Amino acid sequence: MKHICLGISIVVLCCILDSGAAEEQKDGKKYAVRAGKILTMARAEEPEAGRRVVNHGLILISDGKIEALGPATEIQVPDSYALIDAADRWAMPGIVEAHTHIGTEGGFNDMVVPLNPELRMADCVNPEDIAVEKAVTGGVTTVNTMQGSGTNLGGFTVIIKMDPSRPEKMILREFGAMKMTQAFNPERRGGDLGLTRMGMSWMIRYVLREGKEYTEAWQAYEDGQREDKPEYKPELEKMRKAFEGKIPTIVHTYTGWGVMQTIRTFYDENNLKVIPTHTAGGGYLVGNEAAKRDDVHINIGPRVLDFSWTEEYDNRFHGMGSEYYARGVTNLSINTDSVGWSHFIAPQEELAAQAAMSARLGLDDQAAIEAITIRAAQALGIDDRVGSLEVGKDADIVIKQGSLLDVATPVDLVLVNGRVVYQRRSLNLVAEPEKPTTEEE
Amino acid sequence: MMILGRKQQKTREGANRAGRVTVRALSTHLLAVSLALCVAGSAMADGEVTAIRGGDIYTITSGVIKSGTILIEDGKISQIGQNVALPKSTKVIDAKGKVVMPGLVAAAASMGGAGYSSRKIADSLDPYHYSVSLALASGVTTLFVYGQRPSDQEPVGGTNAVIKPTFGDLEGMLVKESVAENLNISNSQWLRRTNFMLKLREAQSYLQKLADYQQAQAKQRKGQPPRKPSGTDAYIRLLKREAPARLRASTADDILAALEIVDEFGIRIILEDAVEAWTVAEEIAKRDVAVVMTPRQKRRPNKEISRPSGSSLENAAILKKAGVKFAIIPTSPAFALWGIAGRDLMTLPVEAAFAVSGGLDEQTALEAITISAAEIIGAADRVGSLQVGKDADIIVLDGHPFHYSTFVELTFVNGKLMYDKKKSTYFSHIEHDGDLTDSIYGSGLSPMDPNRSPAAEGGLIPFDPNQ
Repeated sequence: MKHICLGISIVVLCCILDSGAAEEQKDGKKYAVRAGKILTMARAEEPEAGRRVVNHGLILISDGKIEALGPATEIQVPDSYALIDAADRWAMPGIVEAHTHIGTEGGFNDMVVPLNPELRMADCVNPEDIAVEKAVTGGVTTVNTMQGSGTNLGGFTVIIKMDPSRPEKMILREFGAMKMTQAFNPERRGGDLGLTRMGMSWMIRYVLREGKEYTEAWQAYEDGQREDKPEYKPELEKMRKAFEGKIPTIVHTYTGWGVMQTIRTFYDENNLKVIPTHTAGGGYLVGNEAAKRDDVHINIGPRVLDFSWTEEYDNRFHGMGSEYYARGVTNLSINTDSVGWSHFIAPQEELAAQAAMSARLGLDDQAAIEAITIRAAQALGIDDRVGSLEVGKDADIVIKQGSLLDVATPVDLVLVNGRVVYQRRSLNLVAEPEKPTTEEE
Repeated sequence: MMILGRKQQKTREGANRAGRVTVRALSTHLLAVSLALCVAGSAMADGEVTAIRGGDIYTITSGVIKSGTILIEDGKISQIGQNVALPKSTKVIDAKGKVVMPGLVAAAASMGGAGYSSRKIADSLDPYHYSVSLALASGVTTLFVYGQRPSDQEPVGGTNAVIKPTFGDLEGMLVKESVAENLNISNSQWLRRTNFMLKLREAQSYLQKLADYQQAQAKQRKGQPPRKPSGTDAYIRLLKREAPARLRASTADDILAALEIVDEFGIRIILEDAVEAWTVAEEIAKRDVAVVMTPRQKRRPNKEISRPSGSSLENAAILKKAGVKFAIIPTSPAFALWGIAGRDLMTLPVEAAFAVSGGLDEQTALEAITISAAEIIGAADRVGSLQVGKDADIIVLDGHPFHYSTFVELTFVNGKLMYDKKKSTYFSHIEHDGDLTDSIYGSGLSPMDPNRSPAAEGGLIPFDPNQ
């Protein structure tokens, strides 16, 4: 009996190993996506044409990347490719979220000291968060998930892909952005220095100066401009990435003066690539100042409209997105600021609806889709991998019967890194390739 | 001026009182807007005949009339069709290329200060409240509002009403006060639920004794009339099916427990929230119980039980399939000014569009924010569809109701034009170029097709790539 058991367990073990191998093989699965319309969100060859749209197109996918993309008439589908038939559907890039809090456990803010350059969100990625599973149902494939805005420097965010089936491959970039907070939230906290805006500004400038000096010292040493080795400070080490331009700084800020202060403190004084995020309460009023500067990337949400009936105001509903565009800001992305999974503000899967509401309030349709794809990717500096459908980029693709902006049509199928991670129940758009009969299984 | 009954007069004074306080608190700026809207409202004198001509009329109850005309007389719809002869001196409103449909009905809402620091809703209504003008701008023309809710100790109590956003006009604002009994019970609140059941039985036994007594009287027999137990009026109304009970029941357990009460006492109930209704849709359908729900409501599945649980975007579609009547309300059923867009009554059709993305057909989704909602709140004799004889609560839209860029252009309440997008400050600066369906990046939604259901062929349960 014992022998039989052992035998069975060996068989089971073999099966497990076998399925592991099959899983690896699946990674390398090749797909051909036939789509009625492809919104690539990549720049068209002629700049005046805007973004490239391919009607009756084909996308070839292998090794998780886009291998070819173009009109179906110009691309041959090799035999070994599984066909995803979306001939009467739209194919669009997976949605990119620049500001959210999902997919983490034990994150948010430590709330002991107001400056935490030592903390990193990458330590608490939780692939089992239900919000991750739901995110793909709304076409979201990449998110920058981060600390809260309870302290002035919350730490470093992490950029993750929405394929929880392979937790070890979820992290796209371990250091997503430096998360800082400039207006309102930290001021609410009772405490000592930093309770007022003056104190808070001092904190921010203090830590930025520390980080900048540390970075400069090490750069000088590494360039041979200085002999003595600077002291290694683990808590400041991560800030080098921001000061060396490798990652952006995302700053929680509100209102016109708040956004202006963010632009001055981070961009003008410290030459940091900055993403002022939220910016409600009239942030767009300084949109022209943001537009003047290359590396200021506005990120709006979860509020996307401003309204006030005070006398100095005009009693109008202002779409924040369209108001920024009217002032020349095109580096514009939209967020959900999603926390957990609830219906109260905006859950992660409804980022496209956030863009649709911005379009409703006057933002151009194309700009609204850019704001949840390529513009968000550019803000985070990951546009070499995601945000548009181009050869060589990650095969993160959303397929549905309408535009991303159409809230009445559901997402039908989602690919992340070339893997089908979601398909609507009872749909079967994937046709396996016919296997040559001679080949052994 | 109309002669008011004593009761109405009292009501009016109360409301004026409330109105004065609120108006003082508001800025003069809003007053200016109010005046502008008043002018729009009073531009059409009583007795004048108005025609809305040339639009595609979504009647809701009898299909779409292409390029049709609606005639409005004395605040009511007097004629509707493709060939309507216009009487002399008819004021004609051109709606060519527009969608004309009934004003939207919100089966749960807050508006106009209803229920604010008054025992009666009628005493609290403020026709100048900012939310009234926002309701008009959003095309919502009939609303069910709660006044006071039952206290923590009582299972039944408080008040509710059906109201209209008649800006600046208190007379037309209240349609009816107390259209349902507010119930405050759930399976987990066992004490309140037990009290409710005990009181219902008490009322039931009283009604039985009363019937026996009346029978005895009819047969000329002697006897004492039974004494009505104190505090059972609401229970008696429920048992006589004079009013439905509205109660919040989110989980399948709560819903089934509510249905048990229906089985035992035969009362009418309306379930609110009903986020797990999709798991017990057949049971709800059997009892002919109506539901007020929010398609985007979120609830995590309960991993400790083996049956389906939690929220589903397919909730509305499954209820429809089972034959349950339901109304759709947004995640925050109010007029929200804090910047979150698409989740409140300013965009009620967006919530219905989410039900469509969950597999519901467009016609039923439209009904859920018009006629079905009107039926559930007991106002279908007056509102919820475009039919001759009904109140002329009509909205004119610049596109498909479920397109994200569609705005309300005109809102009529009781036959009066009360909102004109062009003349109001709210949205007049927002214009979308050309035909929405032409946009490369837009949705390409075709004109109204009642049977269109983009999600009908599949469900929304996540696909497991390993299966």
